[in-house]
Amino acid sequence: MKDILIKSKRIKKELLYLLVSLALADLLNVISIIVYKSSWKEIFTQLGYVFMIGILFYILSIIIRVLVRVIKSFF
Amino acid sequence: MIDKNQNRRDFIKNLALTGSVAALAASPWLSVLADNSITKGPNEQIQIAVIGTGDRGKQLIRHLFEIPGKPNFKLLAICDNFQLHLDNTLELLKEHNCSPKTYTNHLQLLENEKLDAVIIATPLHQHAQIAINCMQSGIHVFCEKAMARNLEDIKRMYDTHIQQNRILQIGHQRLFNPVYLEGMQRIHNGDLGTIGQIRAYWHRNNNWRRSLPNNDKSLERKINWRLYKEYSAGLLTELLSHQIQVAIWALQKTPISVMGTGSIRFWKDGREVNDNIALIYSFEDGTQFVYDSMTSNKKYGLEEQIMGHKGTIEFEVNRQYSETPPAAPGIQQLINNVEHGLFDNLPIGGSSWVPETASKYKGEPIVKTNDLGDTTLELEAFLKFVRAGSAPEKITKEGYNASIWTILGEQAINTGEQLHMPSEFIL
Ligand SMILES: NC(=O)c1ccc[n+]([C@@H]2O[C@H](COP(=O)([O-])OP(=O)(O)OC[C@H]3O[C@@H](n4cnc5c(N)ncnc54)[C@H](O)[C@@H]3O)[C@@H](O)[C@H]2O)c1
Repeated sequence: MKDILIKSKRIKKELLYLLVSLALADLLNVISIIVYKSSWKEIFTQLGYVFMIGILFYILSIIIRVLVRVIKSFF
Repeated sequence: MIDKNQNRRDFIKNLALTGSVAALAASPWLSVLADNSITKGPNEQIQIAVIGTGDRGKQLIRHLFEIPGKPNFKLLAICDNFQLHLDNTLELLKEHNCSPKTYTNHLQLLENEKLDAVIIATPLHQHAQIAINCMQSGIHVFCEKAMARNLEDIKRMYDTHIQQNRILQIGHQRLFNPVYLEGMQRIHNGDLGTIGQIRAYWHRNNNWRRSLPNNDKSLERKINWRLYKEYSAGLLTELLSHQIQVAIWALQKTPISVMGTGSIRFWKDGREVNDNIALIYSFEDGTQFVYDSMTSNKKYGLEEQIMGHKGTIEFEVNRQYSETPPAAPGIQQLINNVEHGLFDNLPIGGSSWVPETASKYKGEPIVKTNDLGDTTLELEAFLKFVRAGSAPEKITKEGYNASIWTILGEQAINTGEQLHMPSEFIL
């Protein structure tokens, strides 16, 4: 059986994407607090939502990257 | 694990300690219930009998034995004019190592036993005479709701209670239900603002008939007494009586008029009482109590909705709703708005038109734990009152006013007129 090797460079890159996605989700939370004039406590109380949105962003980033690679392979 | 009984005691005590003057004046029995000193000490045993050992009578006996802290009472005798029910009750009592004497006539019971208190759970038309005989024999009375089959008997019961100086507590268990006690405190503290309407309903989808023992047709009127006008006002005395009591308690005043209508719409099976009723009770300040009950659809179940300009309470589901509910967290609002922007159709009626359907806001619970049995509490309170020799007068008046306005509701339906309280029945 062939072993699947994931290079540490690749892991670092994915972690960076995940981190950026989570940071973006957090930023979105801060913007919502300002726009909807809600409580700053939500920075902590809404962490569950923020995490879910972060994961969503990360999945989106994977889909976009795969799409870009597929399109590139045609040219 | 937190002890349920301790929970319950703490809850009641807390309510009695934190209640405002107005709130405590509206529910004065709360302070008695919270006072542990009445049950402590080497008090003498309270001698009790239960008259009427059908469904409710048996339930009440079960609750008596569930009172925490083993109050010092003895179930001396049970009385019923139907042997089968007496036998069933004796069987039930075996598990409590209790074997009371049995009677088939309450007058013999009163003659032979030295009682402190009785619990009456006979059909409605029997309540008045039995309760009056008991009070005249110097015995305190707990009598199931409603008080009596007509206005005159209700007044006779009340007058006897005053003349004989005996306790007369009517079985409205909501008076002792922690959800109601807490909710009423909030209402009486003004948390709901000005109450404009109270809406209540009780909907069932069944024929309300009980099967006859050995299919013996001669027992029809005895077993199914609720369906016949001679013994009962049907949905009014059985169900509305509880809910008009809640309305009167919430508003701290009695209605000034009632109008109503009723029909036998679905269960055309020889019954005499309506299976479908609707009534409106009006109060002096313009508040309306809007009521309906039916037995051929149960989607909406039962509820009492107290509607003020600042909020609503729905007692049966233990919830309070503010008219200005707290906004959802910012991020959730954002997601909602994005969702609506992406998926909603454009309104054809113009942007200012929003359908006025019910608010989806789910409200907040009134009390956190709702496992505090109200029937046990009302019996615990009754024993305390008996031990103390008196009960807050307001508790009798709650039962009186609820029963008077229940029977007036029946008369309004029968006459098709808007009725007012005849002056001789005003307390
Ligand atoms: N508070 C509540 O939630 C609640 C619930 C159910 C019933 N109730 C009330 O309890 C009462 C009894 O209802 P139920 O469902 O138990 O009825 P039921 O028919 O099951 O029981 C009534 C019992 O009284 C007996 N009885 C009749 N006349 C008697 C007499 N003269 N002396 C002694 N016994 C007599 C009957 O034989 C029967 O056993 C009614 O007033 C009803 O409105 C209250």
